Amino acid sequence: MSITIAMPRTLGVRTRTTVNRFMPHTDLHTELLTATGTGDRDAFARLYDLVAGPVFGTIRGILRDPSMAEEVTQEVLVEVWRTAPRFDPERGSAKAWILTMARRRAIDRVRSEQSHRDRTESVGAASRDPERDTTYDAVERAAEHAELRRALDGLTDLQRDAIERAYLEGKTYREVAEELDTPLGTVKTRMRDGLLRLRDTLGAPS
Amino acid sequence: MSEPIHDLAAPYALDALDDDERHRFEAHLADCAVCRAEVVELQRGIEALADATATPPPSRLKASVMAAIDDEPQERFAAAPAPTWRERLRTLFSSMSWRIGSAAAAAAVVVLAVAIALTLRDGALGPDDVIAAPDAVTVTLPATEAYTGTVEAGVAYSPGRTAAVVTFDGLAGVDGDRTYQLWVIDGDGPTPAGLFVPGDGGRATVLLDAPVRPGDTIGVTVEPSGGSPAPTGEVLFAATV
Repeated sequence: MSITIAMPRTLGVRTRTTVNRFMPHTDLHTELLTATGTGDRDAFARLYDLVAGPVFGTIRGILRDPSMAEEVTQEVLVEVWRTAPRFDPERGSAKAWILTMARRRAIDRVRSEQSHRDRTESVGAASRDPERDTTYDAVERAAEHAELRRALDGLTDLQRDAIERAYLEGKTYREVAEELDTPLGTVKTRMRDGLLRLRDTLGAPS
Repeated sequence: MSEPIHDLAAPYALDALDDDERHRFEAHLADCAVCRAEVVELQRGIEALADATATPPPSRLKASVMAAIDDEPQERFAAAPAPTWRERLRTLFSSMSWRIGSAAAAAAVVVLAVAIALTLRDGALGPDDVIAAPDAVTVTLPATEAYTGTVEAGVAYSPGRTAAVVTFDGLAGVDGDRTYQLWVIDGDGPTPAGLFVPGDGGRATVLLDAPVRPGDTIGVTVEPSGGSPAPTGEVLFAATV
C-alpha cells in the first residue's frame, strides 16, 4: 500500500523538532555517551577527554588524597563505560549524569574512610593522623579549596550552605532541611536559586 | 508549578533525593517536558561548578582506563519503561492518519521486496540472499503523523524464522549526522534492530537484526549517527506483526 502524506516540510526539519522535544540537551556529551552505550570505544575515548578534568576536579573537591582521587576517578570512568547503555537523555544531561556518578563515588569513599577512621579511633588506636584524613569539614573546605571557594563565591550564604551539604556531603534535601531547621520548600528554593546563579555566573554561554 | 513534584527538579539535579523520590521524579520526567527542561537548566549549574574546578588528571590515567574497559563488559541494555513506550505507541496508532493511494501497485512493490533471513544471527545472509519463506506474510508498514512525505513501506515477516525485512521506496533522506533506526517492541520495551539510511530514490531493504515474534511491533525512528540504545525520536513508522 502507499502512504501519501503531502506536506511541504522535509523530514530533516521535522527531525530536529523531534530531537529538541525528546532531547532538550542534545550536545556532544550526549552523542558520545549514547555511542559509548553501543560499545563504541572511540566515542568513549573522546568522551574521556571531555569529562576527565571535570570529573577529577569534582572528586578532588570531595576527597583530599590525590592518589585516592585518581583511583576513584578511574572507577567512575570505568563505571561510565559499563553503565552507558542505561543512560536515558530524558532524565537529564549526559555530563550531569557522569558528574553525579563521580560525586556519589567520592562521597561513598569519604564515608567508608570516615567509618574506618571512627572505628580506629574508637579503639583508641592513635591520635588522628592528619595526612590520612580524607574528609573535608565545611571550615577546612572553605579555607583550603580555593577553586571551589571561588566558584561558590557568587552564592548567598544560605544558598551556599544548602548546596554544599548536598553537593559535597551527599545529604538529601530533607536531611539538609532538618539540619538547618528550615522548611523543605525553603531549602528547595535555595538550591534552585543557587544552581541557577552558578549557571549564570560560571557557565559558558550556550 | 503547582504540584509538589515539580519542585523536586533542584534536589534531583543535586542528587539530593532519596531513592523513592528519585524514582518517582524520574517517572514524572518522562511525562513532563517542563520539568525536563528545568532539570537541564539546573544541571547547567552543576556542570558549571565542575568546569570551574576542573583539574586534569595525571596523563597516565587515560591509558589505564582504556585498558580497564577492555575487561569490563557493558551492562545489557535496560529497556525504557515499557508502559510509557507502549502508551506512546498506542497514542500514535490511534492518532495515525494517512491517505491510501494506489494501494494495489504499491502492494506489488512490497511483495517483490520480500526477503526473509533463515536466522537473524547468521550474518552471512542478507535480505537479497533469501527468497520469501513459505510462511512469509507481507503487510504495510504505515507511516505515523510524525512522518512527512510520500513513501511506500512494507514489512515481510516469517513467524517460523522470527525474522522480518522492511522495505521502503521514496523514503526521505536524513541529515548527515542522523540515521534511521529500527526497533522491535515487545512487552519488555524496544530493542534496537539495526540502522540504515535510504539509497537512491529513497529505497532501502533491511533485515532486522533482532528476533521478531508474533505480536511484536516494528518501529522506525530517526536517531543520531551510531544509533541510540533506546528510541529518542518520534516513531515514524510502526506495524504490529
